[in-house]
Amino acid sequence: MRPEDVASVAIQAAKVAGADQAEAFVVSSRSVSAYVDDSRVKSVEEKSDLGVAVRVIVGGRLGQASSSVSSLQQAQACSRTAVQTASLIPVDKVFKGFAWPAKGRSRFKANDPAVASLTVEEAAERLKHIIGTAIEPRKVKVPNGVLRVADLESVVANTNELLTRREASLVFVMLSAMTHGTSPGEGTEFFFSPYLKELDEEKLGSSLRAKAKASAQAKSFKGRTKLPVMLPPHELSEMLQGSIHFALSAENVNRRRSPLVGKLGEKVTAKCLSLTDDPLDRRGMLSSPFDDEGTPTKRKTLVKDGVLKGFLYDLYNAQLSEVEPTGNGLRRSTSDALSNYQQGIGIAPVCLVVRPGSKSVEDLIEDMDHGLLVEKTASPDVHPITGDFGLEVRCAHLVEKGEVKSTVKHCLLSGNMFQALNQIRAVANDDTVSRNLILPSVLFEDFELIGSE
Amino acid sequence: MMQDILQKAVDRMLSGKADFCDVRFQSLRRLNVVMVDGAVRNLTEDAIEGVCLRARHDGSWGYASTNSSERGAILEAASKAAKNARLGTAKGKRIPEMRGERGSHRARVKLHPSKVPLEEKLSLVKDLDQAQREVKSVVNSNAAYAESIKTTMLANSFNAALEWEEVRGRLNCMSIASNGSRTEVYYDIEDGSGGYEMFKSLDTSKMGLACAKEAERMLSSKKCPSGETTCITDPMISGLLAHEVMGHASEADEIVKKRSFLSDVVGKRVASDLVTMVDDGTLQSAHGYIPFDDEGTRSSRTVIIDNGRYQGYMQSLETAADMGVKPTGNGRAQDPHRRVFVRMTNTFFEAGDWKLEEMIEGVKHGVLTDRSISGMEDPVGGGFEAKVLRGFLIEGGEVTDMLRGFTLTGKALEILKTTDAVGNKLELDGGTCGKGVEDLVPVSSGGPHCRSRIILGGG
Repeated sequence: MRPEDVASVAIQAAKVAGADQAEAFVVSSRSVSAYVDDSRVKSVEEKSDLGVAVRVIVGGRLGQASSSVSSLQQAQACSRTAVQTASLIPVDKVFKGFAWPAKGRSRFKANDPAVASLTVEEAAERLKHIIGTAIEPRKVKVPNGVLRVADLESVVANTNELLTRREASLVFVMLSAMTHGTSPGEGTEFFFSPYLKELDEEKLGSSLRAKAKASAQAKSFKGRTKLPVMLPPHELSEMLQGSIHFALSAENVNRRRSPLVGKLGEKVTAKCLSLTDDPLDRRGMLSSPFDDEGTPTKRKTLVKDGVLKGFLYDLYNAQLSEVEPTGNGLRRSTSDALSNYQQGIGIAPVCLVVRPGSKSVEDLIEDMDHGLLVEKTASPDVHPITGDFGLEVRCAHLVEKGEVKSTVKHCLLSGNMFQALNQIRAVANDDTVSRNLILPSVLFEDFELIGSE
Repeated sequence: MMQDILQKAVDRMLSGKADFCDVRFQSLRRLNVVMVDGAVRNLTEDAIEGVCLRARHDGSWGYASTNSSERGAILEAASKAAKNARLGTAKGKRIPEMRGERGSHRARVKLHPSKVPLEEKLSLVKDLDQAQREVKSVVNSNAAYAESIKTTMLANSFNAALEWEEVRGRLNCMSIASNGSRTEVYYDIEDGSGGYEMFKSLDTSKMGLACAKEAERMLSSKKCPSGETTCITDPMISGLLAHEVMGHASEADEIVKKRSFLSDVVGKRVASDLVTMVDDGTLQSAHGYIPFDDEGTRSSRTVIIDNGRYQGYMQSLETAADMGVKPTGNGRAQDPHRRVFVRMTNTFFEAGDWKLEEMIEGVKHGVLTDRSISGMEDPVGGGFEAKVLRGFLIEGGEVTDMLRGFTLTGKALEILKTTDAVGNKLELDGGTCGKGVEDLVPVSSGGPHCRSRIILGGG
């Protein structure tokens, strides 16, 4: 079944059931995953998925439903459910309607035909290559992880005669490596790209091995200190998702839970930081000319030289704020193509680009008199409302006079992300695709490091 | 009819050289109602149906899945699963032949959610949202109801032919309070396995108002002290220690490949003798209750630590074969598109005999936690990390100032060896567990209040 056909049937069914307006988001995907377990390829999967999410407006009431689809009848049933739910809820005073067709949009593709044609055998071979590079007999093994490729096509159609299509691919790798012995160290490595050719198995495997070995050298940190801290892209991307992404969402601004409420035009970060949402950056995992409501996406400067320039809007929040939507109503994922139709519309950057600096990470370390170079924390979460964080350090390097002097773990890195964004010492030039961001390492001024006594 | 097709799929995988195989047809129906600031923000019904085919060859698995319930599509997927199994390089012991479970099991509920009008559920959420807005400093009120009905039909090469149903519900509220210069958040949750009866006797207005008042109180909370201190963890935080560190490290797939700091500790002392910890999938009202796991093994109670001494691990069919023990009913999958591996159910520390007041009285200087934000596993290093929503300072045996959110850390075994008091009231907190970054399954974790030495900071 073609996604367009499913969408068309769903919209027609919604109209027959009584919908004044209807929208169908349909996604079809093929995923191949190979999992490693104890340095062996343990599971190989090939999965196909097709599903629909339907939104309807009935007498000013907004109803929603989603369903996996194996027949057109299921899509029709999903539409009828959406209409039924709408009939039970109060009139929505905010939401007036779905997106209108945009004129003159170029057909932008950020998908890789090599992903679509990759066989399960080839996926398993690529994973074996990474494992083979990472392991060292009796020294380093690869206990678990996944290599996943997915090819997907999604369409958004609605009763305004809008029809947008997104063809996308994703290559996602997440692996850990650990050393043998009684006090093992573990390192992790991520890879995100829409393109298979970007995947360098040798580089990934070598980095994994090095991280595991470095982690094995880590000793428990004692006492406490304040020091400059360098956060690498994959740690920082999660911290930014938990702080600045949340704060830039118009949903959180409208609900007055964003710390950036009322700060448009004000300085909110250090001058060296500029943030742009660039949905047509071909490196981005979610890049496309339309969001998942069919709204055209556009390049948006969100923070320029430290000054807040704008927020991110989906259709609902744009109508609530009486502004144009920015094309940031998304259902898509950076690591999985399965069941995207089950995700409700959420506001997120399509591809948040942190402007890189001019110096390399190595140069910044050389310039460092005293500091911490973080490699891995337990979970780089930030309290989205307050910005506070306390991260358990799993592996980090203490730097003195430009050189790594020791490696530490079992301690807490503490600070506040919104304050930290105002206290940036330098932005490095190692820009990396991580989730829905493209960002480099960033060196922050003083964080607190707390160990046992 | 469907069981016949599933059996044919099993036959197809066996003829494709699988030495073990299973197939599960799963249907998941969910309802979500979300109210924000007095208006319905989201009312969604989701339906997922699919078939997962799984074949084992030597020690490797091949998977394939399809949304289709058509015979031809399922048999084609079965062939793919059998072929994919031969691409792996893992070795493992053969899963010993055992008698497959058979039968059909409906969820034991008094009031099935499908029989309750949607209007009643909307009213429940509306009351919960509205009550929060009676507190003036609340700038954003949130209330949500969620229910899920999951049915599984399973067949395998041990002649299993099973069908069962799992029903869960969850009601939660979250209040955001602000005084202009500070913003704080508080939440409350009721959840479990069972029917709508779990919400029938609930006073949602009281629940919403209490949540809002606590968010307001947090506006005057203070920064917590940092460093190693005496900490009384509340049931949620005790549960994070049980689940994230001791639990994940007790999943036998981590043991088999020696990725766990608990790999060789059976029979050894790993905690103070006040500490007993279990994983129990048979607790019928708990959020992580399962009658059978996703391999068709009946759920069970696994004692992991008994009075400080380590006992044993949670097992799937495969890990049980590798370790030469019985499966414990912990082979679980998120949905028909996801793989099965060792997962927890309801994981908690057992209650002791201390009253909370007695535990506080014995602390000269310390902290009492209240509710979690998140936690993270560390099966390799045994490190504990818990993000705490808020806490209270304890000075001279009395609770004094309220503390804003902070983080606890330390090595789990060192923390548990310092545990000198375990409370007499066990509470469980439901949620979902992702192992790695995906594969979410419903679980609960908990315990009583526990008093230990822990490093804290942040906030």
